[in-house]
Amino acid sequence: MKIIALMKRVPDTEARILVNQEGTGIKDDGIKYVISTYDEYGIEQALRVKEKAGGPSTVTAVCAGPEEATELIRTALAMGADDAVHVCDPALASGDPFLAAAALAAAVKESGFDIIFCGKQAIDDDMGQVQTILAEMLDVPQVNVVTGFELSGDGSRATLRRRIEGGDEMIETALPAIVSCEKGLNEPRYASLPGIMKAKKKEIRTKTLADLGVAVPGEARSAIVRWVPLPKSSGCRMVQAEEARDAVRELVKLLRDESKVI
Amino acid sequence: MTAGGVVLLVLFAASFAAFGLVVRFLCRILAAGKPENRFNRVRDRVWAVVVYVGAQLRVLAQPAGLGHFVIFWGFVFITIGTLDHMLSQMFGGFTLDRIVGRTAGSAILLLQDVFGILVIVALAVAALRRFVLKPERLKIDDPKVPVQAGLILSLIFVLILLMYGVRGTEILMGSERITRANAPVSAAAAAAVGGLGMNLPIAYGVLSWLHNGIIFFFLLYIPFSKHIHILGAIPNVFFKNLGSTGTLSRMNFEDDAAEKFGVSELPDYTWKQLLDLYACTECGRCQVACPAYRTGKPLSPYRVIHRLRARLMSDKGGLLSKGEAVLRKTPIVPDAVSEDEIWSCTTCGACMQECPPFIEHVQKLVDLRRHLVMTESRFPAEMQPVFKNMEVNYNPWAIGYSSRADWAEGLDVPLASSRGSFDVLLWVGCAGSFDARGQKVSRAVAALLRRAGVDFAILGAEEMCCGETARRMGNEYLAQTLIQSNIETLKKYRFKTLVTACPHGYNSFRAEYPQFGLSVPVRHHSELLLELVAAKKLSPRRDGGPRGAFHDSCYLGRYNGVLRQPRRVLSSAARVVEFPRRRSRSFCCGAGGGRMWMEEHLGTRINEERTRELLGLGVDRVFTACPYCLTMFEDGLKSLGREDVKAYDIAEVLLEACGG
Repeated sequence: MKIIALMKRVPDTEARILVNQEGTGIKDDGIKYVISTYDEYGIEQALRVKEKAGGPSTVTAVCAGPEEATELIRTALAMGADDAVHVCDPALASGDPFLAAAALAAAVKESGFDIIFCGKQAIDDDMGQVQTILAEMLDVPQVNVVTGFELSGDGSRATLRRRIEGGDEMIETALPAIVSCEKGLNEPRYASLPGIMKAKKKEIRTKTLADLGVAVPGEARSAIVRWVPLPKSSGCRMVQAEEARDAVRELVKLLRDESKVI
Repeated sequence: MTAGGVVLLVLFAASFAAFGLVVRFLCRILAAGKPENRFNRVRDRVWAVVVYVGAQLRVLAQPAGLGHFVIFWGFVFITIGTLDHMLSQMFGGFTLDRIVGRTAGSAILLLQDVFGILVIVALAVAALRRFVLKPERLKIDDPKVPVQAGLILSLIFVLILLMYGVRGTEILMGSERITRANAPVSAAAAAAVGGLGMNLPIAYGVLSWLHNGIIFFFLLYIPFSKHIHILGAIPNVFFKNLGSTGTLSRMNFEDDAAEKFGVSELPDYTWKQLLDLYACTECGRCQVACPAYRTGKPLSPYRVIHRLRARLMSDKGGLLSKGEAVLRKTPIVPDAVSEDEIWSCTTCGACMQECPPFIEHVQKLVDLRRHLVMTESRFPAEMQPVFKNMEVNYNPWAIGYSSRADWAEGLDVPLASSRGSFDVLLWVGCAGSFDARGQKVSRAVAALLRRAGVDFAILGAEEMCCGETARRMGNEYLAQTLIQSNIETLKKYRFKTLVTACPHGYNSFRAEYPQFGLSVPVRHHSELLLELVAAKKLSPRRDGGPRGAFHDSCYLGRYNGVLRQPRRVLSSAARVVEFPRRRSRSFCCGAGGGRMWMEEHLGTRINEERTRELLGLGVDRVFTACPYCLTMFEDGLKSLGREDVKAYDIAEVLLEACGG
């Protein structure tokens, strides 16, 4: 079984994000990058499927991102992925989900796939488009925001769980398919040291868009025009009073007269 | 030589040969362990034997140790008498007097005679403790232990009686050598039984042979009983750790092909760690000192050593086995030591502080952690985000690394990168940088240094976690990554001293960074602050000040002996009350060894136990010199509903007394 885990390099959730002066992106200094949290669930699920399926199954981590993503791809390999494809091309820096999906589609077509796991969205721009565009490009079913995964005995189908308002939804799909993962699906493992050591020797195939035969359109389907910092918030004000009743009265007064929200 | 003499000689030679074979086998088991150099500084090692075996300094740290002292020295003198007696049986007419002279011989006889009585008293007390009083520290969940203890106590008792019996009959038979003067107790025994009308030569023979038989039995029983410590303890003291007990062993990650890290089977331990297992006297002092044990957790350092020894005994091959069969490889976890035991340890070191033969418990548990974490990636779930935070943001707090110096905003604290060279590098540490309470302490320390005109700087965002927590959680790989990055950063700057308010960082820089090539003078803030007060660069008002109890941090007091300085800093600004458990016998706050970051769902809470001890003192303040202890006290006071009692770092107390 050929299992693919897609992964994106994103700023660490604890990083202090500041928009750069030109408004073309974020300030890069002082930022640490990590594998997008939801993609980690995908990697973990890919490894679990492989471990359960046994036989000649492989997990390939596929990442479209800058050169610096190599370090994070090694982390996926340390967790247990067998090999990796790194689509590394300056054109990807535009952040166009369509181009990213095209790159990933070409990469997974080349390596072959029975199932593709990815995060429900990347935690940086939160666009959540890539897996859907990718599914269209590959013409395979996609199931999004998945919290449970069960492979059928013969490996041809999968039963998935989705959390919806007031309950769970069970979905069955034929493979190959794309599954986007949600928190709760699993607890991603911590790479063991032998895993880290082995990862150093595993193969990462680096490809440009040209290598994959992906043409970069003259104009992106969508492009980020400008980044705008949030206006400085005026800070939080605590309403204090001896009696709760007085505090509430004061709060209502402030909401009505000062911020005019009620 | 009489026929009896020949028989005895044969038995004597045979049992000593068998004993030699057993000892050789015990050594071969040790050789199955990994190498470790404990052969340096021989003179210090000999001295350690004089102090801790000869004078029994640690044994005597507790009253019951006096009994051991008497039995130990009684054993030494009486064994001389036993050999003397056996040799005289084998070679008629031989006595010790021929070697040492009549006077010395008589003196030794007298010593043996007197020690016999003392030993009997000691045995009675030991039996009383073991079978009647049953103190907490002797508690063990292995029913064989009291049986073995009872057997040994009775055998020693019978041996002493037989010694008096043999000597008494000798006196009755008109011995020239053994007399009322040099064997008064034996003479009294002789007088008491003299009228029984025994056939003296037959009685003498029977008693002598009984005595000899027990000795031979003893010789072969000891190595396989809990009394193996008679063989193990003395070499264990000789090979004791002469460096800091706060230093964990350095692992080597250069071998890319390595599949295994840490310890999962006995042969993964070093020979010295295996020798520790022979050395345990099963006194249980570690057990009652252990904060995990005292709060009802599954860990007892005593039981860990006991079970590892039991495992060693069941994993050892036959006396003549060779190669790998000498010590078989079977997994230690979970049967001999469970994961709950392994993760319950706060690495406070109280066990090692108490242990008379210097067993090193903490390293053994950390070695097991290393295997679980690095090889198997198996550890309590709450540790994973901690590791990740330390990897990504170089601190366990899940706060972006670039905000490390935020605490200093508005304080005009210089960054090392803008200064290059300065007197004091203030190592703020993760707690001092990211924990809201720790930040307050950092601000107090910075304010004091500025007030005293100290030329200091901080690393700011260049500072990373010192690696102490990761190391003690068993993630040596992560720890070394952090350590090496920090060393690179520190080597860029010129400074005279590294000062930190965190005892964990203090211990790291003092006891562990030298392993990786960084040796800088390191001081705890209490040491620097005391110096500044003494030099009158800080002038706290001396009108008594607030009254509070001082809590010794394990990594400051017990591991590094910094006991006087924080007390003197405090006494310049406050009135200090002492805890019952204090100084190097302080009771852990519960946060060490990475426990700060783990759930404490087994037993009761260690910090609450310590907080209750505080509340018993009737003070409304507790003073600490460690950010972890500070947090643990604040949490303890909160959960016990005693937020009227406040916890402060010594720097805050001093700053307050200096006018804030």
